[in-house]
Amino acid sequence: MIELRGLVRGYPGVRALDGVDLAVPTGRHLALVGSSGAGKTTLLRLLLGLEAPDAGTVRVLDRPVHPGPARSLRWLRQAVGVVAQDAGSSLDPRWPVGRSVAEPLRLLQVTGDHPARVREVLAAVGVDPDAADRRPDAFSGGQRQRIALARALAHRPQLLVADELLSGADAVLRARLLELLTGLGTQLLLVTHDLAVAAALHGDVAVLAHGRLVEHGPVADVLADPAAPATRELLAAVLRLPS
Amino acid sequence: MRALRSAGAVVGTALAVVLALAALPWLRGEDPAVTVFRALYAERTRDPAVVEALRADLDLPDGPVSGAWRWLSGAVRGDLGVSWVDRRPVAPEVLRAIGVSAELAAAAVVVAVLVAGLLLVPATARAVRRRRPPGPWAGGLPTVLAAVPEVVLAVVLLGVVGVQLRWVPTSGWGAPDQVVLPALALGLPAGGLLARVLGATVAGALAEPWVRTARVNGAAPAAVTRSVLRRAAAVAAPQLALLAVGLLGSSVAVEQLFAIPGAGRTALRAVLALDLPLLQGCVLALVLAGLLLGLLGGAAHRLLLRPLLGGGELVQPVPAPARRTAVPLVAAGLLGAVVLVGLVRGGGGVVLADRLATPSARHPLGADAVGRDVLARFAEGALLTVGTGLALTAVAAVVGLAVAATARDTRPGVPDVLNALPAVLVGVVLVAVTGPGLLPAAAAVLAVAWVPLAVHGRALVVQGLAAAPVRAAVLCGAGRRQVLAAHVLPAVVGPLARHAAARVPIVSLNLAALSFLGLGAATDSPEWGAMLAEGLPYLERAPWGAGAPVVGLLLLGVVAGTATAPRRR
Repeated sequence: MIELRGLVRGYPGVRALDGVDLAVPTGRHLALVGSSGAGKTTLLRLLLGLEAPDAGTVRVLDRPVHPGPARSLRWLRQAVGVVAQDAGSSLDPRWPVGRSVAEPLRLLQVTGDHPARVREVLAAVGVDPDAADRRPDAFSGGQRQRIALARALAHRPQLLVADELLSGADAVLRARLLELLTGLGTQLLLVTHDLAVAAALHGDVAVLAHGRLVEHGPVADVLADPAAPATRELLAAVLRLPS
Repeated sequence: MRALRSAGAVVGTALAVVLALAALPWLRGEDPAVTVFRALYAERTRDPAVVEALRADLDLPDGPVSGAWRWLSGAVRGDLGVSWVDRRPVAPEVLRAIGVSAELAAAAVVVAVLVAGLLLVPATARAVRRRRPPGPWAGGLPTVLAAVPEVVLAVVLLGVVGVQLRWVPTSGWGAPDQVVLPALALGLPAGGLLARVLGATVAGALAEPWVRTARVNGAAPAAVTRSVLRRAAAVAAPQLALLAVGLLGSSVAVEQLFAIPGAGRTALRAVLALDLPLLQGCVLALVLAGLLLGLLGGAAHRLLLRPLLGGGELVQPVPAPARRTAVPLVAAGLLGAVVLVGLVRGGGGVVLADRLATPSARHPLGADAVGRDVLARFAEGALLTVGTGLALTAVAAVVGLAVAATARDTRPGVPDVLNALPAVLVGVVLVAVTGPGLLPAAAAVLAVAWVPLAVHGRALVVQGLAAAPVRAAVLCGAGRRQVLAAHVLPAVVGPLARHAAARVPIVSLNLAALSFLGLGAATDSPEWGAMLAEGLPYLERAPWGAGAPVVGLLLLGVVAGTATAPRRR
């Protein structure tokens, strides 16, 4: 599905990515884990063709990804649905949310009955389909997140990328969202700083630290025997109830 | 890379302006020799032999390229060619004229500083003593003062102080008492603007923690006042240069009114006489002076404020936020009521028996030099002046929006260079190409009017492009054009339309200024600027003829000044 080779990306004064190799097989969930500033967001931006690496290559579905005009990246947008970090505020405040959810259908020229698909996907994320004609300010923060998720799923992408989707939610909401995400049947790439989220995915986990990939493998193996100091630190930081 | 492109756009625009100036004699689309012929023998039928003789005599170049090149290379050496009318070299006359303009601008700056000081110092002292944020100067007198159009103030000063009271002479230049009226006409509004700009700084300084510390420690109010004003002065010093640029550009009408032989009046005379080399020289001198002052202002700004701000761009004079007042509504309402009455009463025909009739029941505002009812003409002119202003502003808003839609960042570009050109100067140059008329005057006003709207729209577009819904749309496959159409422009249109609405009076005033100078509407048109010019010769016998448009323009200025002042939230 995804193949990253020798990715290097620097900004003035920072080396955000310092030689990252990562292969993600089709159909297997991945949690991209790391503390703040580890390079998670930069990696996503390169993966989504929003900026170019200083060195290295990005391939998705065996096609190279280069930043460019919207038309040249349409295949990537079709394959990958994205829920941005600020999911709640990413809905245009002037639009009824149904219009926002239909936006990828329109832009990617998906054939079929758009209103029906909007209702279907809203119901799938647990939002009342009859509320599609309301504006975002009529919904709670959690509901807006779900609507943004519905938009990312509307055009049936093969891969869903979510950047820190769960970090703002409270514990109960987070559990429900995770359940929802894993039940979708779409391959997931979740970016998070919480290893507990990674554990719930039952897929692979990749740990970034200081712009390098320090650990990558099935989540059970990594949690049982963390090799990198960064992973052990993240593991120690997971809150547990006293047993 | 972007900085380079931005600098390129700025230099490119400046170059384009200079090149257009150099090629001015050819932009009329006729042989310059024919232009000279018409300038010299206005009504005579064209005689090819005389035209050829003129070409040889004045050594006119053959084409626009060689002509522009010769003018430019001459200008660099300080040779601006010879006048087409009296054949004297242009450069010394331009130098003399720009010197007079500079003296006038300097006198006006002195007045402005005095006025701003008079408005600010007592108010600051009061605010320090009462330990309260400063009161009315941010919205009151300075705003109204800044809103008075210079032409209008000049006419009032001319009529009251010069003609009625006869305290000081009303025309000419050279004697100290001849400076008084024009310096006041230019300096009072500038002083109001300066006080508005400084009022914001003073308010900010008063809110700073050190003021409270000083008070708690028992510092004398006078000492605190001095410190606060010193802080404001650091901001003011560079603004003075920008103020002077504005004065140089807006002084054409004042120079004309008081018969001051400055660059503005000389340029105006040159346009009306088709003496294009003289016009080129004057405009070049004004543009260079403006550029030089702008650079000086920028340097002073960096020198004085870098320690405070850590660098940054030159701050444009942003007026202090005003309180929401009913002033613009009241002024607009009053104007509307009078205009309505005038339109309903009607009857603006020529009645020679009523020449210069005093106000009466028959003519509530009197009659003009050919016996036309002033109220009726005033109302008719309101529709023409404000209606044209409205139409022009609408076009300017569309152009501004279109330019803003191409923005990628808020670095200076083409609009920022054009922002420095006053509408009247653009009008003078444009009329040199097309001849006077309402249409070229409107084009000149439009050439300047879209700029502030484009600058504002650009900021809104750049801000909108960075918003979360746009980033999400891009990840759904939207390109720049789709993002602009769907998310950005709908959010820009509202604020831009409100801004444009507030600029209608400013645009109308610019148009009236051009008509007043004889570059716009025909002299017998009821357009307020033309009406003012027509009433001037009878200022002594029948002040109502000029008085009606003066009051109208004054109210329009107040609406413009108070409606465009940023609101305090």
